[in-house]
Amino acid sequence: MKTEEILKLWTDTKLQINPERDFSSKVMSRIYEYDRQRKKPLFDISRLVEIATSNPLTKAAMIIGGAAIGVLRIVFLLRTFLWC
Amino acid sequence: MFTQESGYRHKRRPLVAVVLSLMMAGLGQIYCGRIIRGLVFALLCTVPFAVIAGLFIHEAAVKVSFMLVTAFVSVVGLVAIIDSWYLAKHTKPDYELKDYNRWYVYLLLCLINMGVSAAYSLYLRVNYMEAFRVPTTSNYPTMAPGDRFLANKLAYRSKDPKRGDLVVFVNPQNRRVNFVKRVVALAGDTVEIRDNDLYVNGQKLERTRLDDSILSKIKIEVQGKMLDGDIYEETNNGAKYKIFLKSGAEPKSANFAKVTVPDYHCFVLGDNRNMSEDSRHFGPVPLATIKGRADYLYWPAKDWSRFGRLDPK
Repeated sequence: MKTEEILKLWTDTKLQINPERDFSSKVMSRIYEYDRQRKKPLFDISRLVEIATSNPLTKAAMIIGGAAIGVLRIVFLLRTFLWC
Repeated sequence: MFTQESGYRHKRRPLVAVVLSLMMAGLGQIYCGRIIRGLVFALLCTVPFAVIAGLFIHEAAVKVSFMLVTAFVSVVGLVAIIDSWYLAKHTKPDYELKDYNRWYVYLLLCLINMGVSAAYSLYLRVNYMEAFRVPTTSNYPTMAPGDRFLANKLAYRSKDPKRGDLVVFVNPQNRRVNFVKRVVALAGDTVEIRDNDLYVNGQKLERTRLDDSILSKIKIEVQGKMLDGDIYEETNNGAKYKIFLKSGAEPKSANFAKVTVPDYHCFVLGDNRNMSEDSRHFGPVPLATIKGRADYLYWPAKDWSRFGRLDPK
């Protein structure tokens, strides 16, 4: 076969290949992952939150921590006023 | 696999909203993009403290008001938590971050809230009310060692002390120390003590013996020994208050020669008459050195039924 024929056959065969069903999802996922890794900040609070909220123990720790800070804030206020 | 869920990086999480609300009322709403609502919640939880201060100053029904305000703040705090949870739950998953949706903004708001509250507390302390701790037994049984009370600094801005008032003043012998004693005589009055009986303007003050059982919950020890003596209710110009006379007290504290209180001064005595350093030792107290009137016992060292007003009947 001539070179042109071989090229035409190859091009036709290539065009007939159907992409996989989740091809676009895979591409998007790769892009997303790439984007995520590229822009990954040093202190990613949303990622930390994501990790923390994935475990019931860390969830409980977050609630206790928040409540403790709230109570400490009130204690600080009362102590400032009632200090003697 | 790429999913829509994983793409919503700024989705508001109810748990985070609740945690922020626990830290400071209103922060959860700000996290969900409702800054005005958040600030309103923050204010609603701060303003009532000013209301309490106002009630103390204007001598309203403090106990009831204190409980009402505490209940109000608790309810507002709870509503703020539930509201932030609801908001986070119903915020669109593709939430777009606002300029203030940053962790350091939340931290800054918390610090500002604490700073403003602390500054307000200090302002109240300097101008309106100051807390004091009782270190001695000199005002027993009205005050026991370890008691903490609030002095109203506005009480004498427009009027002078009256007989029966418990006043906080600067110790004339050591200006770094404050004393709290009871005013028994005012400028122009004569004061004399004979055999533990107090005479003001030549009149012996009426005194009623009370049952010792009323002291059962606030018994105190002095130098390892239980303080023993008699308790009386003394009436001075309509004001009634309790005094304590220690058994076997030294005769010198039971008598005091007649003196006339000079202008702009008052004569003060401790309620524990035989165990108090007062005007018998350092003379009448200048009115200018009086800091305020001891009004509220907010931390009784013993017997919490004493919590509240210290006023004589």
